[in-house]
Amino acid sequence: MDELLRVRGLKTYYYSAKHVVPAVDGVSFSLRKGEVLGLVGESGSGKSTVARSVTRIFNKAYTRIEGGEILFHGRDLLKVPDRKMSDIRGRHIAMVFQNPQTSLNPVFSIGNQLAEALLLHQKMPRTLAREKAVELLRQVNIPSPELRMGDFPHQLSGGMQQRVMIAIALACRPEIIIADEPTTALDVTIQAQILDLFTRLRGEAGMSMLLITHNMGVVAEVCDRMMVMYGGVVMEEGRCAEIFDKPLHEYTKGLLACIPDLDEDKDTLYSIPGQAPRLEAPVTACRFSGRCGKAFGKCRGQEPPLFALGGGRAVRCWLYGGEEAAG
Amino acid sequence: MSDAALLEVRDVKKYFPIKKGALPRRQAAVLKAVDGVSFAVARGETLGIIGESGCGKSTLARLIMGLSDPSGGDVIYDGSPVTQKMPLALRRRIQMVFQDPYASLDPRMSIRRIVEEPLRIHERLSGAEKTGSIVPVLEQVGLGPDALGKYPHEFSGGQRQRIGIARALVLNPEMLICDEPVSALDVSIQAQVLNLLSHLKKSRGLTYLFISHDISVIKHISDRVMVMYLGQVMELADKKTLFAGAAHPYTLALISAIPTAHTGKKTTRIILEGDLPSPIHVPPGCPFQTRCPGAADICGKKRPELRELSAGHYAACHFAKGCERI
Amino acid sequence: MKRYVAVRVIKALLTVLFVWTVVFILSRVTGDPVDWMLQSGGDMRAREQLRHNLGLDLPLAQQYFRAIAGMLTGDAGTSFYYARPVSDLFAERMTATLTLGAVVFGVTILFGVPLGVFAALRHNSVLDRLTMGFSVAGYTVPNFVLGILLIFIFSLHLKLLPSGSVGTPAHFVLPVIAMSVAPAANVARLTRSALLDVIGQDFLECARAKGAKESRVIFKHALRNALISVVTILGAQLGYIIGGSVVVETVFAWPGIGTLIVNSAKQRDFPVVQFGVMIICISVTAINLLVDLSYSALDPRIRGRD
Repeated sequence: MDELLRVRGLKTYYYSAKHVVPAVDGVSFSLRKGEVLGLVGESGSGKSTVARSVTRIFNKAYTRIEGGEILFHGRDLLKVPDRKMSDIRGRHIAMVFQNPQTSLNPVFSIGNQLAEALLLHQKMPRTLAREKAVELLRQVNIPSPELRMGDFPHQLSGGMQQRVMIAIALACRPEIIIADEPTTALDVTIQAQILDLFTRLRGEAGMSMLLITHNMGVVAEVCDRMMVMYGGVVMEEGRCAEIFDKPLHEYTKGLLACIPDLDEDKDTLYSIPGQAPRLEAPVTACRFSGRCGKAFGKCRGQEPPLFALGGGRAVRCWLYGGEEAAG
Repeated sequence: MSDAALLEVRDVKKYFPIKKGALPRRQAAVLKAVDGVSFAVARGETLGIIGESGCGKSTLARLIMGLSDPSGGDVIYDGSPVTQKMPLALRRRIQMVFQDPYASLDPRMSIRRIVEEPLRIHERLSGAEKTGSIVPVLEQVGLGPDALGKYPHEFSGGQRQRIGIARALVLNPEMLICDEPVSALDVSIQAQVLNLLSHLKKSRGLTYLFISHDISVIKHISDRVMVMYLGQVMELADKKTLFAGAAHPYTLALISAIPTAHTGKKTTRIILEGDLPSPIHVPPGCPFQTRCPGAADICGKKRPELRELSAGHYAACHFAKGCERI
Repeated sequence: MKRYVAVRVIKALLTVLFVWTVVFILSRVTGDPVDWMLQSGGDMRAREQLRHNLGLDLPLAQQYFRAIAGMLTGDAGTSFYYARPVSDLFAERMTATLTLGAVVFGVTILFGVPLGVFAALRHNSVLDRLTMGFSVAGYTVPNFVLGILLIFIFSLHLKLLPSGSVGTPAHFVLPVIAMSVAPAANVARLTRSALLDVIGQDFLECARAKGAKESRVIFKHALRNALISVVTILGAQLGYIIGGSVVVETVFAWPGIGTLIVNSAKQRDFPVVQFGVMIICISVTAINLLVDLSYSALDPRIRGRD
């Protein structure tokens, strides 16, 4: 068994004065050693909430995990008390965030913030921590790393800041890195550099990664398997090559079709009609049925389960399970 | 360039002085946001402008809208100069669609007020006449008359961008400057808005200047494409030429940098080294030399001219294809 | 940086000169010290003689430049009332004022900052609301009113604490409370809002993701960023304390420079008032300068700018 992380039936809800929003409404997946799993979806799909639920980095004032299990090496992280989670964060599961400009503390030097990541989990002299920090900066391709140690975040470009974030994440050689939209705030040529870095690091360090993104291209570039989320649930999952080759769910098909293709010219782009669903409404139908071109009676009466199709492929659609699919 | 041009931009420069020190503040550097840009847009065409942060595309949009005056060069719209002081009759012919549909609509104004505001400024109409001109425009962007009394927060990002487009269209402009109009939207909504813009262009005979950092969006919507880097034009060509035979190494890198969602077609990627230089420190010579895989001595000494390689295909590179080495 | 400091010092000196000039003119406009000194009236000749001795018969401009020249050469003049060098009068009373001010400032920091931090951490809790209620009450009640109220309760009624003068630590209690409630309230309120601004920031999430414990996240990462605004407000409060001491010292008969200035103003003792105002003005501008300079020490984003 090389399964590192198994999430079962995760439910994370947001509470406001008026509503309860089931941002994540029963999500299950597993992450194997050395694997890169992509979590794709549009805003409001719950993809970031899944990531934050694993490390429990969210505002407890209005966020609560309502159910499920998050098994890390077989141990349920949801049973770990809040104050003990800090032993797991950074040490075993590290994170990279979307906005490198705001994710680094503006008043501490790069070297200081890197050394902190090391010293929080390992006892070592400060001089050794600095040496290791320089090594980490070198590993993420930061030119003249010794000089950059004394720099403050605002002195670095966005791409360099994100490299520092990645170096911080790598500091304790964690088993899993969760990257939440790590290239969304970056320019395309810089995004290409960071994706290249991910691919290289993964080969060198054999780390597992959960990559959250809205960009199908990024998933195709670095992930082995992917899950497509919509309205707080997984709509489709499987190996990237298979899904890009033959998407099954109408939502996945739509997402792929509405990206303008560089290699062909079309007058009109395919577009998914309608708007994203309101999450607080009770679910009595397939969450995508209101925008789906193939929806039929059953879709509007009952939410389909995630049908396993074998080979790790699964689709939440009545067209692929139940009596209709058999007949 | 061609006589039929609706918009002509001639060697336009926009410099911002960077001041330093307490008293007296002295000029320490110059930010060359736009540095010698020339192009023309013909009536009815869509010119796409692509570039990364700091390339000057948004400053250029402001200059063309007459929201700021160039430090040098001219912006000519249909024979008349575009400046901050241009007459209203000229101003109403160019309108703008903004990037952030959340920030560009006043949350305290109803949709009726937002969309009719340009009419209040430019025309004297009665209430009924105003409603009469707004409703059809709203319908064209896919919103019903019930939207009139609502407020921006009641709409999703995509619908808000439709409202922004309606506001731009209500004066019947000839030209729309679209500054990253779909960047803040989810992909499924992005396609809806792009289709709407294509449809409006046809039905109203509009001319677009379409600014984006997303090369696939630019390729979808544009007739011609202009690539900018650090305030300068790197390449300008019609879409087919540019995507089939880009001559500038930056264009090639930009195209190859896009991760594609189509497996099996992975081409070799050009990964540029280093960072985008700040527009305050544009290298002398070719602005791209610091990251260019093929940079030579001359690139550090001489700024390459934007030269016509073949009919309508311009590139600013000493080593551009079809160009004898100097 | 040197250039920046030089420019700031020049600006500060100009401010001091301006304030001093205003005081110089105002004090002369509001009355004649000779009236006060020769209360019985006196004959014209005696008055003229006194005016001449005090240098008040000279044209205003000449008096002004003489006073400035005196200040520059270190001669603050002689008090009309005490007939002693002004500098001696201040030297005797400086310790009392500085001790009181230091204790008040210490109490302000010791109560204001932690209260603000806890209010921010327990945002919207009962503690938060209580702190904010105290804060509003604290800075709306003027310090002399509070001082009189405290004397009334603790000295006159309960007879627990002395109402004025110096001697034992007990003498400090009432003036320190009267003077530090408002600044502590202000510091608490602004520390709270500064920390609340920081608490939602991404870099705190990043610190948590690194594995930092919550206490470290707050006290190292958040507070260090909030400190920039806290130092600003502390500087402003120090100015307030210096200014407030003038009134509070009078209420508590504290033998410091505040009492001296107030009495001298009543007696139209121009040299003393001018020197006192100048000292206060210099201290306040010096504090502001120090606060501004501390920004670059606290915030690396400001450091490289000039």
